Amino acid sequence: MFVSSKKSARLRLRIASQSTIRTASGRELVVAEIKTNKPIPPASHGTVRLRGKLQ
Amino acid sequence: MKRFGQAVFGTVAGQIIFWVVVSVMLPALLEELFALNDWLSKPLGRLAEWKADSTLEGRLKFIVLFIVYASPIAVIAGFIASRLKSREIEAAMPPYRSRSNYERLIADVKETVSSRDAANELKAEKINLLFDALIEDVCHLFQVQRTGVRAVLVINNRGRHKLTSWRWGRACTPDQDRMDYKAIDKFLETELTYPTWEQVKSHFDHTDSDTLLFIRNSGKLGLGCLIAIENSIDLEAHLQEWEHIVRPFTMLGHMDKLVRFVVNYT
Repeated sequence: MFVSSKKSARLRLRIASQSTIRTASGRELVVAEIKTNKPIPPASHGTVRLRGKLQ
Repeated sequence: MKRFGQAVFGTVAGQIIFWVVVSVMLPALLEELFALNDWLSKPLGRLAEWKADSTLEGRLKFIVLFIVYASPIAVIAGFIASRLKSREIEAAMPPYRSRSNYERLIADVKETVSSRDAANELKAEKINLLFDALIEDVCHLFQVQRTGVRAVLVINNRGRHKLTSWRWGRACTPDQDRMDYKAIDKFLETELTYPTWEQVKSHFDHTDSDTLLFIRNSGKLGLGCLIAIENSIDLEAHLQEWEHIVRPFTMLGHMDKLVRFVVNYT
């Protein structure tokens, strides 16, 4: 009878592994594998200006 | 207090009550303020009644009257002058023009990553050149030092819960790395292609960046890029120019070969 309105968990990115490689030009590049706890939502074209402390 | 504010301004009924109270109370409040008329007139009345008999008193009265009349004129003249000056400055400063030809750079990246003959190092170098140009533009547009800028590229690694990331520019600690990815969380949740975040230090106490800019493609994430800037910048003044610069970068995620190359490059 009661519908659960549990709020979905926030998206979280977590570093799974990280390594530093040097490119042919001698530039240092940090390559990382990132895991996410849920699928990344698709985006539409536009912008928003976030400011200061967020919820 | 915040809930009260939301109840008043966030609902139609709350707004109606607010405006009714304001429209009833404001005239009454103004009428009450009229009682101050006598008090406010007293100094001017005294000044008008002041019989300046001696020369010194006459001079003093003139100075006081001069200040009374000249002050509002000076304030108004100053305001008009500052408005005119700011308009002149705006007119004198041409809009920022990127020094990089992104169409050419992106075409170059596309051609190189699609070529079977090109070495992986060359492909990586072309991508580096493209994002180097972007960092260079950020530095010129927002007047920041190159040593204060870091770029983090995030690429969708086919799987639904996996990304590949490249980082270059300003060095950072593992803690800063984590904060960059937390910021990317927030940006991805906005579901917009080029969100920005100012005054970041008030959210992450120990972060080394006060301004973050993010660019990604529309639709399903293919490629996103975080630009982390050490200091605060005047984003308001350059927002339109920034939008112009990021437009070609919002298309990169749709280049499957580029995305696949970054994922497989180690």
